[in-house]
Amino acid sequence: MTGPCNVLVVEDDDDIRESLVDVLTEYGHVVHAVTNGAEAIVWLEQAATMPGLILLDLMMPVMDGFVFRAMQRTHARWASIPVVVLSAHAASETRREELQANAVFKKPLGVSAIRDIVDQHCQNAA
Amino acid sequence: MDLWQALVDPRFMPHGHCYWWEPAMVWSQVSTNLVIGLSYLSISATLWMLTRRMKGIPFSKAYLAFGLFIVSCGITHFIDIVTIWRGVYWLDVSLRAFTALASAATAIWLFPLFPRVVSLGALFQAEREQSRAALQEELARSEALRRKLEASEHQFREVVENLPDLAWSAAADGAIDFYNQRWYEYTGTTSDDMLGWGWKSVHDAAHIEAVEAQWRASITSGVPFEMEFPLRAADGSFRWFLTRVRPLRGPTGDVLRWIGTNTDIHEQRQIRGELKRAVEQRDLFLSIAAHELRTPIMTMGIQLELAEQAITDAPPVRKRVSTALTQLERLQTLVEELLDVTRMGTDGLTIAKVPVDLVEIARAVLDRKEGRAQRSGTELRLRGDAQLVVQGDGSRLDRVLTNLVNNAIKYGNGTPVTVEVSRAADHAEITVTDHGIGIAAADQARIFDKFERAVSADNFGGFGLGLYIVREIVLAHGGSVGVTSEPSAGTTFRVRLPL
Repeated sequence: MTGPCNVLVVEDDDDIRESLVDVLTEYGHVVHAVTNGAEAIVWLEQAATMPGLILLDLMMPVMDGFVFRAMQRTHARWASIPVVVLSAHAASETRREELQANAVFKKPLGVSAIRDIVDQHCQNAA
Repeated sequence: MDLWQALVDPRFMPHGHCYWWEPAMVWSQVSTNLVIGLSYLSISATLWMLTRRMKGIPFSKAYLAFGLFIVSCGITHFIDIVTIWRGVYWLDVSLRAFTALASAATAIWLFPLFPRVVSLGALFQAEREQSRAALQEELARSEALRRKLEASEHQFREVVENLPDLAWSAAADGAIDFYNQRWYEYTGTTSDDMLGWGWKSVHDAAHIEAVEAQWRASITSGVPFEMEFPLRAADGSFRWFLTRVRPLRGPTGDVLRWIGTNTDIHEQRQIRGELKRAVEQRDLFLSIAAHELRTPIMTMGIQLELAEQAITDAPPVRKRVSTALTQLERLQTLVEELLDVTRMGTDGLTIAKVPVDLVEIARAVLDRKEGRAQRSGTELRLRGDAQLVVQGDGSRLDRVLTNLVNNAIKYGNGTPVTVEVSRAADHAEITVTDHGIGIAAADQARIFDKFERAVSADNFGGFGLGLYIVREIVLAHGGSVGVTSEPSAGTTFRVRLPL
């Protein structure tokens, strides 16, 4: 897609989360960042417009990426939001089927890779 | 009638007169003649029945002739009784004449049979001796067999008694009727304690139910039994044993006996448990290490990249940031190699095969390497099919391509690097080609080994693990990897994966 994307970043590591926000902001996207699955659920419930893409970490406290993904993809309004998983764990590979994400990427990822992910997977709500 | 009148001519004096009608003499004559006559009849009846019943007895006609002779002899004795009171001596003498004829004929007829009977007797004798010899031979054979069985039984006991294992054998119905000495020594029991299902007394209450259920299932189905469970030692402590029971089958396939051994695996189990815990700990460590090492690398990478992009008016600063990025990438490669090799080192490589698109993987790898390629002035190209799906482990195949592309950028000296994904008859092929320094023919064989590199470590850093990891992953997929290279002209790595 071209033009700014409405991205929800779900990542517990402060530095990575801020770096993702930096990159996405740099490329002109609108970013909302939360630190775990539970916060993401709260944010989605209150959001006026749905994001065009969710960048999801897996290993997080309170609610991990697997649980969040299971809740999100069975929810009427949220199920159609594209989800790209970014994980530092090999578990993301073995449990890939269970996630049914649009794509799974292994950390670390560079600036250009993050830019391409958004360009390729973002589907902004009309 | 005239002949009959003549035969019973009443003119002769009855024989009784000769005895002066003395009753003792008369009745002695009557009774003796009667017994003799009846005996003769009985003997001939027996002979007749014998020839009737026993088909194929030799000289059956001789028996009949002999029978006829005896019958006629018998009849003369009955006539002797009649002539005591009536002088029918012509009838008497006629019957005697007939008897004489029958006797003489039989005697004459028997005479030439004599040699034949003799030879037949000899034949019988020979046959008897032959069968006696055969019987003796059979007896000797079964005796030898018995001795052999005894020896093999003895040998079996010897072997079983000298086994380091506890051993026993059971009847087809599972009743154990023999334990070796080791069993009694270990369990501290006596043969009386072990009668029937007494073995249950040395089992752990927590396991006995499962053991008994499986053992009964084996007895019913004839399937070999194998199970690990603890057995109580003489001192009351429990040790773990691996128990194996095999059925001994007869020629018809029926289970004749069961032979069981209990092998002490107590230490092995402890080591196995420790090893399992060690592997779990290692995996946990690797998982944490992977996360903890990758997180700062990613953050630093993004921040440095963004800084590099932002610095447009201070070339010396931009160069410093660029150098930092290059070193960070180097650190990243080292971390990934170390994590991979640590994982492979102890239990080899386990791969989970699912359908993966090699072109998608190649594209992702080239995307990730774009920044680094730009810094070294390398152009990255992707060629070949639009999609090529194989059964494989996506993240591991990503590692293969990442390592090969890293090498190509590193040794390519800024020349273009081309990744080509294509389908051949029975395999998928990935080639990674650069036009850099190349690899000498002598070095090509060893570059896939651990800690090997084609050039000296002074010029190009790293652990020398990249190609080793590539080879291990490709082999685990059932594929192959090779290299063609010419110094100063470039290198092509070729990976083949089964379709």
